[in-house]
Amino acid sequence: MRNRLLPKIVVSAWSLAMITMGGLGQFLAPDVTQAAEIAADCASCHEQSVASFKSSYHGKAWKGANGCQACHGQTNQHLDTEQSKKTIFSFAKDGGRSAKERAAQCLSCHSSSKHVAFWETSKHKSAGLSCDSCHTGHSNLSKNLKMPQTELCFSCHKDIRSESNRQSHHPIKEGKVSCSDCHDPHGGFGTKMIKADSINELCYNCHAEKRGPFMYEHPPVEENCMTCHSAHGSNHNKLMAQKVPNICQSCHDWSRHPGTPYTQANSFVSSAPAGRGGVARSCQNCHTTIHGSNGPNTLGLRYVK
Amino acid sequence: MKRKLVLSGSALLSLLCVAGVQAEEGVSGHVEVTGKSIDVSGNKAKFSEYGDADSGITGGVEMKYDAESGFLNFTADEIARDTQNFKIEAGQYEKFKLDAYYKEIQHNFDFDARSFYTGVGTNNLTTTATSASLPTNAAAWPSVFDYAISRDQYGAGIKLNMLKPFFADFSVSQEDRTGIKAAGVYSSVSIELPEPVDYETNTFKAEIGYGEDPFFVSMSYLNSSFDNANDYLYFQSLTAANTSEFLTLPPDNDYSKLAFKGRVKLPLSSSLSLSYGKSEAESESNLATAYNTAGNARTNTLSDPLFNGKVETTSYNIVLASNPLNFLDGKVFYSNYDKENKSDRIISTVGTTTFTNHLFDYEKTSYGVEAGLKLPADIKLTPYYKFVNVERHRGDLPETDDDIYGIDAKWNGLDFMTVKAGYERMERDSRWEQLQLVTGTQASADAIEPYIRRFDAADQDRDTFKLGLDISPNDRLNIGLGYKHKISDYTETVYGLLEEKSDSFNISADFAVNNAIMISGYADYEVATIDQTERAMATTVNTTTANPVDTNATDGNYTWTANQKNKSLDYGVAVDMAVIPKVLSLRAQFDHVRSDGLADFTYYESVPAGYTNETVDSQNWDDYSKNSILLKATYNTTEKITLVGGYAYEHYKYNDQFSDGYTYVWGATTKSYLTGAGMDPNYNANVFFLTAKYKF
Repeated sequence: MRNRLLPKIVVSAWSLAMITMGGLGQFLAPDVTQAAEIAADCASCHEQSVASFKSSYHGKAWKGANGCQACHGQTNQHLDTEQSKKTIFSFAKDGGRSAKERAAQCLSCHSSSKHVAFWETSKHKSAGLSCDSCHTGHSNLSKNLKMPQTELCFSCHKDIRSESNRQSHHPIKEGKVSCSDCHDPHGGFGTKMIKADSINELCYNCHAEKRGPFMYEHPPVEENCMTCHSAHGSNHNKLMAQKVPNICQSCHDWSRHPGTPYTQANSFVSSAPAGRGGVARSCQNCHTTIHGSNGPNTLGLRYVK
Repeated sequence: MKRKLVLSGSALLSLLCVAGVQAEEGVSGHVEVTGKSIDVSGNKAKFSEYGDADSGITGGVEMKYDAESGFLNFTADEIARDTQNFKIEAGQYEKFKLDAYYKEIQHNFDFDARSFYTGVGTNNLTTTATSASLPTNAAAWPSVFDYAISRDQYGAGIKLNMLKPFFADFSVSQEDRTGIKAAGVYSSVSIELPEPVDYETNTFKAEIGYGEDPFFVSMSYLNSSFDNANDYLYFQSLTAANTSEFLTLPPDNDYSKLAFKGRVKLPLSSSLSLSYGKSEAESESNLATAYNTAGNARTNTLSDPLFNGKVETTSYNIVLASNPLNFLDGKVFYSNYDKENKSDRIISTVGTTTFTNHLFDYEKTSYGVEAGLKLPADIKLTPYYKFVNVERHRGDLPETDDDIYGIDAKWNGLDFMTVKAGYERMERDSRWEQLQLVTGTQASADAIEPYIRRFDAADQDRDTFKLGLDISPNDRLNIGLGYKHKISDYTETVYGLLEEKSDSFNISADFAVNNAIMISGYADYEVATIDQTERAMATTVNTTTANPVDTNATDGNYTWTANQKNKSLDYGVAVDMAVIPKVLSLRAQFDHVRSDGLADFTYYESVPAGYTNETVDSQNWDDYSKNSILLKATYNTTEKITLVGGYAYEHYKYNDQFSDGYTYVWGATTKSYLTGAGMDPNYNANVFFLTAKYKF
């Protein structure tokens, strides 16, 4: 029985909660101090940076409670004597701070956040990245990113950019799926920093119909979706890592049609066409339930019904 | 539609409530209206694979409200189109956040597909066609329909941080997936069927935790319930009796997972991270004891007509990360993932054939070490080693051991340049066992299987080299270069996949000519090859005929090879020009993507009549090219009003052996009945658009 009431309940509860929380917020408002005075000193040279900070999430969240020093450290020496980046805590490439130091500066506030709790396990950390490789405290983009997420990830992962441009792809560049829907750039326990304990568990989040459990299972399907699919994009339909039927024949050989080569001689335009495996969806012209079947007898066993 | 209105209305009501209470504070954002004129010749579905191909008017809203008591953001885009989104968030920074959303994702496959069945879109396809009156004229078929799936997603959540260091997150979501996708069955002939998609997935997530250095702990729970409105797709066979048959559809399932994560910071800049998760997936299906196939009635004796599917997984991970010395950054880890299949084992008997369904499960254990070493001259080396063992309940390759070792190097001794290089080798050792067939002639399997290794678990040596270079000589120029070489050699395979190899090159660059002109571009090129050797054999095989060095190859017993090669290229260039700074800007963009594939087949006997080993090759092997042009002008008429107008063009061309010369009814004696899925994806598209945006 489908729960058609759910959306109405959710919307009503959400509205009620928001109004209540709006009132509660009056009692939880932070204290505001006059750190803005120091920001004004900074603005005399860094007008654009101070302006972008004020419109950033950090600026809005702190509401003036913290100024430039919160991230850039004490500014006395920088203001009084020497304007070098090295006299403050600079995140610039030539600021003289290591990735570890820059990350530590951010983690001094954020280390208790669940989003970065496992940063130490991250491949990104091992690769020498720090928070400011992707984020900036001056950003007003979602998650304080330096640029839109897909563009940001592709700036390093160029091979993935190439795959996502291919004719069969998840809607990444269309903006319907983002890298962080599947990956946790801050680290975790999954391979390739995926947000799950296994690849299949991740894929089933959106493709729940593949979850089964089925009576007749296809072992490589049950172990790893990526055996047959290339998640970011492929030249072959349905994100196939290789073209059908050859990928099927890599495992299903010899007897009858699994061992038959499907070449130009079997196509629509051949002089003597034969064999259903040589046209249209090839093996899947008959074998539809390859992700698992509850079909009867050998028809289920062979994923035909 | 009603749901969409309820959600939007509620969101706007909430917005007004808070805005009314805090009227003294500012609201910022924008409202925009866009008109699109879209003209597509060719395959409209492929052009708008994840979009909406119709001309029309759409709109967008972004509203941000910030006050002492909190914030409220509302965004909407592509309003009234198949891809519309609504999202609203409210709360107080670092205290709490509420959010709700509605999102549509469209996936179009093919429009105007055809079927001789009526009832398309339902789970009951009917026809009066029989073997005596086969439906050969597709133009006269009664059903014309679209292969497309819509996902309507909506949900809401609350994140609470006001009782720091404790936190709690809760969310609910629902997805309704509807549409039609292509399926296929064999019923004395091969028939492509329009399969109805009517799925609903409900998900609930909860997480509570504590985060205060040196500790972080959290417990989470997830429940996902999948409901398919159709258990079977019924269709009538094309046999004389015109009997009703069925295709089984994905069963309903319930999935839940309970997980724990924790981390504690230790002395010597170290941390210990742990996770534990346990999940359970269940399904229940009524099995058919009587069914028709190819016009024949069959009875199927089952040990139990009800199948209870149940799969449990248990996983745990331990990671010790440490930075005890300034030049040493290490990590040691151990993980285990156990998938246990507790589904029913059902004994099926039809005539003299009796067998039991095989249940698959596996256990994967891995451990490893990584050491980051900072060396003089800004060089960092990170050698690593990882061991992976998989034990799987599978007949041919029940166990694999992977030794993976490699090294990453990075040098950033110059402020304007970073050089990265890496090498990794994997050596997979597989334990092979003779496959015991569930049904079929075991003697044949005994003869041929010793030569077959299935690539997903076969012995393999894999080498990967990577090289990357990022250069930013000044503030105006950035260049990124990448190269990757990967080769997998399946060392014990005689029949199956023998080798996979790829070489890819990537470059991206952006250059600010001056304050007014920015040029950016990218290019990627990859050559990938896959070599396989297979054996075509008659039903019954013996140890002589299965031998790969057998010299008695015949038309029914021969070796063949396929060497596939795919060359992929994509590149693009864009120029942004501020014609009148802050008033008028132009963008011109060109993108190209293509793939050229080839499958070089060789028959060692039995080349088809009329062909040779030269002419039998597949020259069109998922070949395609796409050219896209975008011209856009942005004009800020006033500080608050912006006009954006432009033109986009896209041309897509596809050639493939499996669809070139497509016909709905195909085959001489053995027919195939198709519906047009993937028939002709070529298109040309012209799009004009104009957006008026008002900022407040």
